[in-house]
Amino acid sequence: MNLTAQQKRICEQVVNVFETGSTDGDYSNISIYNDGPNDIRQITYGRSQTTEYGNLDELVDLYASRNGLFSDKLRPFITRIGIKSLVDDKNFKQLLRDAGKNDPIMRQVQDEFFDKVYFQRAMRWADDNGFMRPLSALVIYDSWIHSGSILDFLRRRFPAVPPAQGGTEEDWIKQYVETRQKWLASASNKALHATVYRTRCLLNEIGRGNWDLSQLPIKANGVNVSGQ
Amino acid sequence: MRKGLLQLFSQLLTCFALSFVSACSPPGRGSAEPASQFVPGEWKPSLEQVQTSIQDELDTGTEKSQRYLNRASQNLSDVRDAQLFITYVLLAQGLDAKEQKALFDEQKTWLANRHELARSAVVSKGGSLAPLEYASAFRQVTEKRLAELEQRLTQVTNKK
Repeated sequence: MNLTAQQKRICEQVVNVFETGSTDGDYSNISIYNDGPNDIRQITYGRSQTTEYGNLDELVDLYASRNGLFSDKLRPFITRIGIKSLVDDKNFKQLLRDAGKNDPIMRQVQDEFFDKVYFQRAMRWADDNGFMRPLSALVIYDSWIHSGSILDFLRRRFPAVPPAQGGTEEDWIKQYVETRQKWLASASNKALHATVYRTRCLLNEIGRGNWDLSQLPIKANGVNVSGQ
Repeated sequence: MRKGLLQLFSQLLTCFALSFVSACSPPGRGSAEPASQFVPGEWKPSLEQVQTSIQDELDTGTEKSQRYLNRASQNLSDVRDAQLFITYVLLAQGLDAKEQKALFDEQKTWLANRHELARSAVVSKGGSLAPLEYASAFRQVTEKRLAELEQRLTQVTNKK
């Protein structure tokens, strides 16, 4: 997938808005959810939200190696993350917040980290399946951030095949987003219904043929995104 | 404001828990004697307004980010869990020691199952939707149990 710097920035900004309401995202955000192993609460941190029992240790390790403002204070926690619960450790959480808020190095590290963990993986999937259009990149990246991947059970619900299997890129993307929209809008778990603003926005861009993401701004959940 | 309320209730619940543990201690266990009362009858903390407030905010307006939805959903499930805790404690104190032990075991099994039920409701393969799916399913399972225990509490209260 060959994206210009601006096309990539548009993809990131649209998804940042979907996630946090802001084009910049929120580097200092900490949320506590009880979806850790065996029902335990865990810390979820950063611009694209990595978890205490997921990859938080990797992120903090990377930050510690870059001599950021809070690297020395965060370093001792690395071996404990994901081993011993830190959800009630006020010092640890405050250090993460402070680093995300006040240290440009932490922001840089998060950009690199989330690019590697989410964006590059999503683009690898796009390449493997023959997708080339920037709007396809946005759709695939959004699915990766929101649902962790391109969901197989959704793929089984529509007939189009990816370009790598002889299908048409635009058809596949449109059918995937429509299927995802139907799923989110009618899921038995009603909490999902409120998230259809993502697929609505994507369908709107598909509808106006914005395949190279050149028609700007893109209205994402009420926020104008122009890749600036 | 809501955070303060939740903190206050968290402290109250800790007190409940400590009282409950001490009331369940060996002297009464195994006998049919009613356990001594450890929560004053007039003390009935309510989380209903907090719950309604979160739900109202969630239901009104549009353009809510995933982070907002995830947090609100987690807050609602926390409130429901706290309500379940209160009901459980109130129910337990109305039982004799043998029944208390049975309720304790039953609740322990249910807690383990709740995690499995909530986990099985998550169809995302990670991503930011997964916490919303989990918290929402967690709340639904908790609400079902809360209704059950509330019904039993009413029966126990009416018997007295």
